[in-house]
Amino acid sequence: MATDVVQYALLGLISGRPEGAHGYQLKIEFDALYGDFWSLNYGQLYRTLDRLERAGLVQCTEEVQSGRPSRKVYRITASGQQSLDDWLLLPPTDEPRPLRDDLSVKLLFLTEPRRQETLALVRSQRAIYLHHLARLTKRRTVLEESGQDMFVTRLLLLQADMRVRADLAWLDLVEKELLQRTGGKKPVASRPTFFKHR
Amino acid sequence: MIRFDNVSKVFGEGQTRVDALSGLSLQVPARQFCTIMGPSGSGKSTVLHLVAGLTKPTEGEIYLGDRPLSRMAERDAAMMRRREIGFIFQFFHLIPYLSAEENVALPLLLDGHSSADVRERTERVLTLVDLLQRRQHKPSELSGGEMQRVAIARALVTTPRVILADEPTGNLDSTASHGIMRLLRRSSDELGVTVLMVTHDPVCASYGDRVVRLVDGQIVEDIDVTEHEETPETAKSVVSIVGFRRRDE
Repeated sequence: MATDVVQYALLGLISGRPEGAHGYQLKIEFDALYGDFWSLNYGQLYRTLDRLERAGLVQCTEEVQSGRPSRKVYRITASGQQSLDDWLLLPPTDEPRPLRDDLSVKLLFLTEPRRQETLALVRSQRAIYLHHLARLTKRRTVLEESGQDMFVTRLLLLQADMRVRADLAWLDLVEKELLQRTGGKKPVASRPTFFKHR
Repeated sequence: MIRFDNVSKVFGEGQTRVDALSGLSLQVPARQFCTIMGPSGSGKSTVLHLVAGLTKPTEGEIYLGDRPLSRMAERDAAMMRRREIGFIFQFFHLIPYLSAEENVALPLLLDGHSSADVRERTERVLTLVDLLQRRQHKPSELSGGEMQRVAIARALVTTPRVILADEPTGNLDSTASHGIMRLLRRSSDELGVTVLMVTHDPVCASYGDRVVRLVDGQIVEDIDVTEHEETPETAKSVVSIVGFRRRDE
């Protein structure tokens, strides 16, 4: 997740808590909403919060807790709210996400003699996707059974479903093409040309 | 519950010989929800047909429970299919001139159950699939998802030990598919049914416990997709944030 998107995601979460939010809470909420799709570690979280504070988009106060170390509580400022609103309605300008995962790069360099290893890679990648999908499915079922309105989360989960489905369909295709080369029916093709280096 | 012991299946001979399965060994324990995936022609449907006894293996043995299918008399095999196996198909295969309720009751009527028993069981499964209100409707008056739910009710009405499902969502949209998959999941979790399902759809497969992939009649992957249960803590935090969002909107 690009840095500035993380920044706005956190700003959005903070804006939803006028009573103030602390770091740990934000991490939990971020993970609950996006954890299946994006990972955010504490280092990144606190660095981003610091940056938001320095930019005057959030205000940080120390909250004293009895018997425990005090903690920082973040609230959105007026200029933070303005910045968030502006960003939310800004038309997207980024190009589509390029194909840049490990496997597509490995495929470029794994040559014919290592076809079996390549197939194994494709298959283990598929197992990972299926696990991921199983987790999303369970998440979706749990949410539905909770009877909560899950408009945004449901859309995110559906998006993830569609992406994983597309990734799996692509893996099927890669496997099929690799298998078709077995038996020397086709000459070893040169490097696939569908990857464009950016 | 289902065991394939070095099973091969050959169709045709000579030039037209097709090896649908080659030395397949597979064990599906009771209550497991096992999905079979793989490209077209990989032997997926043959696996289901063999369990159903619709075709016989060229080599090897298939066991249902501890009984080898090849050594059963045809009469016993037919009885076992009727009582212990439920079938669900891509195109539902409901009888068009019978109501939902009559379609569901059919296997019991064929098996000579008392009318009180038929009524009681039919109502129970129609409730389970949430179609009690529409029991008088003919298939043509039901949506695709509803027809498939009737088919699931019909499969479950004999309290089978095994459900065989062949692309059960192949003809349904994603919302209806989700409903069907949840019903199959519940059949396994709550009724203890062993489910063996063939599908092309990885999202459907993700409802199961295990994905077996076949390529050219052989198992190339056997993936355990069970996850540790979501902790109440994470589930709650999801709910709380969605709840909080809603207040905010």
